[in-house]
Order: sequence, then structure tokens, then C-alpha cells
Amino acid sequence: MQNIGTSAEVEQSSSEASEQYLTFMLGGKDYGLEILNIKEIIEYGDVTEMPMTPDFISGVINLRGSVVPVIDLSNRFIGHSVERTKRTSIIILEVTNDDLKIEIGVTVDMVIEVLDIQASEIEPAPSLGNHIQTDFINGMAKVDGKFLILLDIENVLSIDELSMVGSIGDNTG
Amino acid sequence: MALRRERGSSKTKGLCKLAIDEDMTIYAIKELTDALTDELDGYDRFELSLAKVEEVDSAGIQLLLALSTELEKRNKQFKVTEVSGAVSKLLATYNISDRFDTGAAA
Amino acid sequence: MSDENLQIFAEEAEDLLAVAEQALLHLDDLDNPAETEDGVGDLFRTFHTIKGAAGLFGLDPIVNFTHIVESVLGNIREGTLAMDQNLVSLFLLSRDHLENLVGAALAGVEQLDDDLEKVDSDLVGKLNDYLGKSAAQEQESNGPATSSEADPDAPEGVASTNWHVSLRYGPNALQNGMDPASFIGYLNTLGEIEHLTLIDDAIPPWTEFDPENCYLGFEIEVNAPDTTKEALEEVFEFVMDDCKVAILPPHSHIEAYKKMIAELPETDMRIGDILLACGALTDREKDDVLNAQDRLADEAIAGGEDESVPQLGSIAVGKQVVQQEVVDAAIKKQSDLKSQRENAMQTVRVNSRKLESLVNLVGELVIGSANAELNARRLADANLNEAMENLLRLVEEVRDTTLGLRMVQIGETFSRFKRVVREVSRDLGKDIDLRISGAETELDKTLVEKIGDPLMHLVRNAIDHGIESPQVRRDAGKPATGTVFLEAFHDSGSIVIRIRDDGGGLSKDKILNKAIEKGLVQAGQQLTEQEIYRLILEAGFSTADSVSNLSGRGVGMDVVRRNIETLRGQVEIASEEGKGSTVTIRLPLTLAIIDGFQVRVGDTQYIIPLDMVDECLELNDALRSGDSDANYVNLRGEILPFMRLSDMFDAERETHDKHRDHIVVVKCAGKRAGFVVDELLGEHQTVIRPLGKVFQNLREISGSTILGSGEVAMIIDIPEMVNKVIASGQLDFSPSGAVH
Repeated sequence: MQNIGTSAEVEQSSSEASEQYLTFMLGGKDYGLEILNIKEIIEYGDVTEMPMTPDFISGVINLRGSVVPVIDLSNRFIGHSVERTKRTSIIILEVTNDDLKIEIGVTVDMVIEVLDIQASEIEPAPSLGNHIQTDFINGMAKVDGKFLILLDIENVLSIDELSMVGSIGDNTG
Repeated sequence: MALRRERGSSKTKGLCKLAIDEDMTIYAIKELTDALTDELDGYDRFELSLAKVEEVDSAGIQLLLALSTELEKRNKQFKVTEVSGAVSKLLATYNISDRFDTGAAA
Repeated sequence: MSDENLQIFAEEAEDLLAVAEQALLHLDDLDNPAETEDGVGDLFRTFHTIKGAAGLFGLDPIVNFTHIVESVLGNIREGTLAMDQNLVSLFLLSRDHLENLVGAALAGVEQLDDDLEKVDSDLVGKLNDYLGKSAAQEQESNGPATSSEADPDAPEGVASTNWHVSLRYGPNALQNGMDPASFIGYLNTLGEIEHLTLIDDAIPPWTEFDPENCYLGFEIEVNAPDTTKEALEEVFEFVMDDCKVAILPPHSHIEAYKKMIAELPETDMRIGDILLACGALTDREKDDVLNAQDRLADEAIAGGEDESVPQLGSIAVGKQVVQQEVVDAAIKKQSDLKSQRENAMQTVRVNSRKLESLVNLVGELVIGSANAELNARRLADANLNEAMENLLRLVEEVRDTTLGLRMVQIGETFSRFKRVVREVSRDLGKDIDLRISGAETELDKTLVEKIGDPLMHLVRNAIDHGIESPQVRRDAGKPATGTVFLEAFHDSGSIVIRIRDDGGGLSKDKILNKAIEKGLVQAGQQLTEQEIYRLILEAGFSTADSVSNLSGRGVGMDVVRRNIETLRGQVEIASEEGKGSTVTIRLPLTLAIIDGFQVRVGDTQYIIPLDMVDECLELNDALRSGDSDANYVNLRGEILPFMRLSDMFDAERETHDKHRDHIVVVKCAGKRAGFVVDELLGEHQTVIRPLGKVFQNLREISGSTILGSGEVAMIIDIPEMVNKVIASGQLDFSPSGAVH
């Protein structure tokens, strides 16, 4: 899949209360991610598995010479992986931890589009009735009659939680 | 020309009378040395007047020392006939006034 | 002044201050007057150089302060003031203060803040006290310097009451505007020139005479009872490059004259006569000086030594006359400067960031060439492959050279601790000796920078908690002086740093009780010795009964451990109660590029650092001791615990007919273990890519690398894995059991 867009390529919205989101599908549901954190989108492939890591870590990829960890988002959210297809993609995000910028990839079933969403269209996440942890969700937006789950990427990719890998690995080893 | 051959020089008598009229400093020293070199052959006795030297530095003194040593080595006479105040002062500082037999004594 | 120049000044000053610190600490060790004298000379020059450079940049606070330090040192050098421990401490503080001043200058501070100002005036006051003291001493010992008799206080000193200044100008002096006349004129303002001899021996014959070169030399007697050597040296400070200067104070030791004469170009006889004519030496003194020279020269020739010119140093040492000798510092400085310049030509300061990016580029080059090789091999073109092979060899050389640039000796880091030991032990009323070995051991610069703090903590710990007070030591029948050993050496791809003390050792009971108290372990839990010691590396652990002002700063051993583990290193503790403790740190040699051994486990490729690979074997029935599930093999009679990496790494175990298990035998810290892999793939130049924070707790993998194919391979952390294998083996068979 080609680059769908980065924050630089997409025209900035004139409305102050509106933000751009990349929407994608995961396990049959639609999600949105703020475009600001997104560096690029690549085809899924050549992921080297990491031993002794929890299942939600797919492994690492060679992204132009740097080794970037890849998180299996569906596994992180719903505890099991979804079958990979031709449309499975890796979204490369940049998150900040201890003032250090870290690149992390997340796998999604299919990237859909870039959307402008007005702040007014966003509702807080309901505390119940969701199959994923509430602190992963920033809010919900209704777009074209469908609900879009807007993710809180800092929490989804919390380094402290992701790096619990070692202790988990110890138990399996 | 910094170096001047004075009247009284004579090849037949073997006497060469020279005078330096300008500064004997590092800036002029090369030219002076070359001029002196041209005069060294053909005479047995040399007299040098430094009466009109206004400024002299260690390069100038060093030239005098080199010249006198060289002429001595060639068995030629060398006499500094007159010195200016500046030259005299520096020779005194260097404690070598007596090496240059000035004045009419000789 | 440009920031860049200021930066260079600051860096140089930092280096010089480090030198000064070493010189000071060295002084502290010595009762030897000769070496003390050398040390003071070094210090003087170091501070003088800083002053000169600071002056160049117009950094007045530094110039003013250094000037006073230098004056005190000058007095010590001339013997009018004796070096003692208090002075060493004062100089150390002054050195620290200078460091701060340089820091302030670098930060562009024009006006010192109150704190600095206060320290400044305090130190200046103390230094001035010494200057006053020394002036008084001088007055006493020298009296009005009019007597022409030999000074009774210095029986070997010459009679002359004059300073002797010896000058030999270099060829460029005149062209550089350094006319001797102006220096002599200036000299005349400091004192009275009693006698001056111009030396024109060096003027060549007319045909070779270059009138713009300077061939002059001078031997000068200066009557200047009120001046200092330093003041005289300052006259010639600017001409040091163009002139050899020797300055001998009144009543200088005869050896000083001998030394000076030996260094002058003219014959000894000629100089002897000149000095006699000058009045510098009496007839008898002259004979004395010259005879010694001749005799030594004769001896040197008779002894078949190459150098017919006697080494003055050896005269001084041989005759054990060093007390009063005035070192001819100016000439030494001259030659030091010269050698410094020569060194400067041989070394280039490079911004470490540039070096970093070079190393990164070389990493890319290595990966790129591996990729090219892979593709070249596919084409099976003989010429291409041969060219490729040459290229790879060159790449490898470039790699090694580049990495070599980053290697530095650990000695400098070690030496920093000398001062810590000195000060801390004094504060604590303990007597401690620091012994260093392996200072020349090299390791990556980035590691050196990061290892400093943990090491400092460990050294402090050894001083603070390890070494007992002298009384306790005596009671225990140990020497009152405790010893802390700092050692470094290379061991199979690692650098090992060891901090050892001969102190009280660790009390297992105490540690255990504390750990139980802190809830780190359950009462009654069985722990091995090593496990107990490791408890002190846990967060929130401190065994000291009394918290001194040194430890208990909130930085515990757990921080040390964490720091070292971030560097992919290990910490080990050994101890014997009453005898002392040893902390061993093992670190990878470099964090950049290593030689690796590539293996395959399941679908994934792994790298084992080649330095740690001992041998590779096929795992066949002969090796197995019957039991196919056993996790050890009998390797030539030795029990070798092993582990299947496929089990460890959760990969499918390959069982098809053609499959053969291979066992890679690795060694680390004297321990050996085997890893069963699916395939051996051979050596691989491994550019280490850090795995980043997400995998920071994954201890079994130390990093990753990119293969020629673009795939990522994991680098196995062998020390960690070996411990794991051995630990799991211990559960299954008794450690002392032999294999039948």
C-alpha cells in the first residue's frame, strides 16, 4: 500500500476546533488516530518475531535502517490477533517518553481515510459497553452514521506497559 | 642606497671606505648585507662609518659582528670609524663597544 | 572572542586542570624531594599555561587568580616555602575554583556571582598568607644579599649573589619582532645588569650568514635581590618559542649550573670561561662544574653509552643533591611546549558528535556491503565476487579503525578516584591506599562516560562501608592502612572492572535481616550466598549502621546496578566477612559494532558475540548421556549445561529427518554453557542497533542488527543467558556431581 498521507501532505483545516484523524479498521470496528503522531503507513511484512515477548508484540521491522517495534493492536485491545490480509498495514507512530521520541509501529486491518472531525462532534467515551480498555479511548465520534473510536495513543503505546515484556518473558522461559 | 662608498677608497691602496647612512634594522638588513657582499672582494682594509645610522637593532649589530668575524678570517682589516649615538648605545648594552675600534685611535 | 575559541580554551583548561589534579595527588603520595620538585614544577607550568591562555582571552578573574597560585608555587619551587599537606589541599581547592571560573567564563559570565566571589577571596586570602610567610622566610634565610661569601645555609650553592640569565635566541626571533635588545632593556628595569656577555659563536661564515636570522646568545648577571624567578621568567614569556632561556637564582646549586651548561650549545670550557668572566662562578666553582661534566662524559663514553653528553638528571640523582637544586624550568617549559606542539600535530581534537556520525556511517557501510555481497553472490560472477571480497576486507578494516578511534583508556577515569579516596578517607579518619591496575585497558568512550558515576559510587562505598577505621583494623590484626584496588582487564569480548577492598566484608546475616525487615525476602527463605549479596543491589537497601555524609544520598546500589544494566553489563558481588569485598562489573567492549556468529532458531536469526563462542559441535548421541531430555552433555568429560534456544525463545522444535541439532559452546566469566540451535550460519559483522525502550526489560536479548538481506536479527545476551542456563541446570542435578 502506498503512503496514504502524512500530516504534512494533508491540508490543514481552517476551523480551529477541528482535527484531522486517520481512520482505520480493526476487527470489524472503525478507529481514528490523530494524524499529528503519524509518521507513515507501510505494508505489513518482514516482521521479525521477538522471543519472550507478550503476544501483542508482533516483533520488529527494519525501517530504513532503524529497528522499530511493531505492536499488534487487535491483540492489545481484544486479546487475540486478527488474520492478516493483503490490506493489513503498519502505521508508524511517534510517541514521546522521557523527552525521547520513539517510533513504534501498530498493525491495523485496513487503513480507510483521513477525516476532519470537529471537536463538537466528539463525545466522551462511555464508561461501559466497550470491548477495549477505557483509558485507551479519547472519545467517540459519529461519522456518516457510524461510530468511530478515537484512540489515546499515549496510553495505548505506554512504554511503561509495553516494556513489561521482560517479566512476562521470564515466566514463559 | 643604504651603503655608500666614500671618497678615499682606492683599489690600489686596497682601502675601502664605506658608510651606512640609513637604518640598520631587520627591515633593511638583507639589502645591506647584499651590498656589503659586493664590496668585500678586492680590498685589504675596510673602514666603515656608522655616524649617520639613526636606528639600529640587534640585526644590525649581528651584521657588524658577522662582518668583522668574516674579515678577520680573510686576514683583512676592519675598522668602524664613527658610530652614531644609537649604535654606540646598543654596542654598550651588548658590552661589545671595545670590539669595534671606533674613533681616531687607530 | 569567538565562542569556538572560548570552547577550545575551556577544553584545554579542563585538560590542564586534570593534569594539575593528578600532579597534586601525586605530590600527596611522595616524601621524595626530587619527585616533589618535579611535581611542583609541573604544577607551576600547568597553572602558568592556563594563565597565559586566559590572558590571551582577557579572562581577568582567571588570570588574577592563577597568578597568585602561581606565585605560591613559584616560592615553593625556589625553596623559600615548603610543600605540605595543607598546601596540597589549598591547591586542590584552588584547582576546583579555577574549574568553576573556567565554567563561568564559558557561560559568558563577566561578573562573578557572590558565591564564586567569596570562594575567590577566601582562597586568595589563604594563598596570600603563604606568600607573606614565604617572604618572611626568605628575608630570614637570605638576609640582605650583599655578601659575596658562600651562603652558609646553602653549602653547595655558588657564591654569586646575582641572578644568572642564559639566553640563546632561535633563528626566527628577529623576524618575529623579538629583538634581544628589548628584553635586555626590560630586564634592566627589574634589576641591575651587572655583566653581560654576548655570544656570537653561532654566527655562520658570511656565505651562509642570513642577516634576518638571529644567531645571538647572552649570559647575563642580574643583581635583583627583590625579584622572583617568576617575574624574571615573565620577561621572557613571549619569546619562549624563539629563545632558550635559563634563569638561575642567586646562590643556585652548582648542579643547576652543570645542568644549564650541559644544555647550552657551546663547549663546556667556553661557557665556563664566560661564567667566570661574568662573575657567575668563581674559579673553584668553575673547575668543580667542568670536572663533573668531564668526568661524567668520560664515564658515559667508557660505559659505551650512545650519548656523550651527560644526562644532568642522572648527575643530580647520582649525587643525591636535589634539595637545593633549582630546576631549570624555563628550558623544561620550552621543551615541554615543543613536545606539546609536536603532540598537537599528531593529535586532532574532533567533536565527538562527528565521530559518532562517522561510526554510524560505518555501520551503514557494513550493512550495505553485506547486502551487496548477498546480491553479488547470487549473480555468481567470479570477478564481481572477487572484487566484493576485497571490498569487504577494506570495509572491515575501516570498521576496526573507526571503532578504534572511540577506544580510550580507562586510566583517566580511574585516576579521578585518587582524589575521592584521598578526601573521603581523610574526612572519615581512615587511612586508605588506592591501587590501580590495568589503567591502560581500552574501552568505548561512550561507555567510559557512563561508567564514571557508578564506579564513583562503588569506590565511595568501599571507602565508606568497606574499609574499617584504623583502630578496628589494628584490633583485627590487619594493617592500619586499608587498600582499595581498582582493576580493569579484557575478558572474551567484555571489559571487566573490579573494585576490591580489604575491609570488613559483607555480613550475610545483616543483609538478610535487613532484607527481611524491608520485606525484600521472606523469613526462612533459603538463599544462596550470591543471592544474598545481590540483595544489596535491590532498591531501597542500605547496610551501613551509621549513615555518613557520604553515602545515604539517596543513590543506592540499585541505581548502580540499573546504570550498568542499561549498558548491557552485569554486576557481581563477592565477599568474605572480615577480609573484604569485591564488586565485579562486566561490560561489553563496545556499543557499536562487533564480530558476531550468526545462527538460526526457527524462523529467526540470532547473533552470538564471536568473542564468546568457544566451539560449535553437532549435538549427537555420543554427547548426550543417554537421557535425551537431560539438559547437560558430557563434553570431553566436562559437564556442559545447555539449553535449546527453540524452547527458550518459544520457537517450534525442528524434528524432520534431515535436521541436525547444533550446539554452540560459549564461555563468559569463566563459565561455559551450550545453546542448541537449528543452523550455524557463520560469522557476521554485526552493527548493533539498540532495541529501544520497549524492550528495555528483555534481558536475554542485548540488541538487534540488520542483516545483508534487510532482515532483523537479535543479538543474544550471552552473560545473561549463561547464568540462566546454569541456574536452570542446578535445579536438575547436583552441581558437584560427575557425569557417568
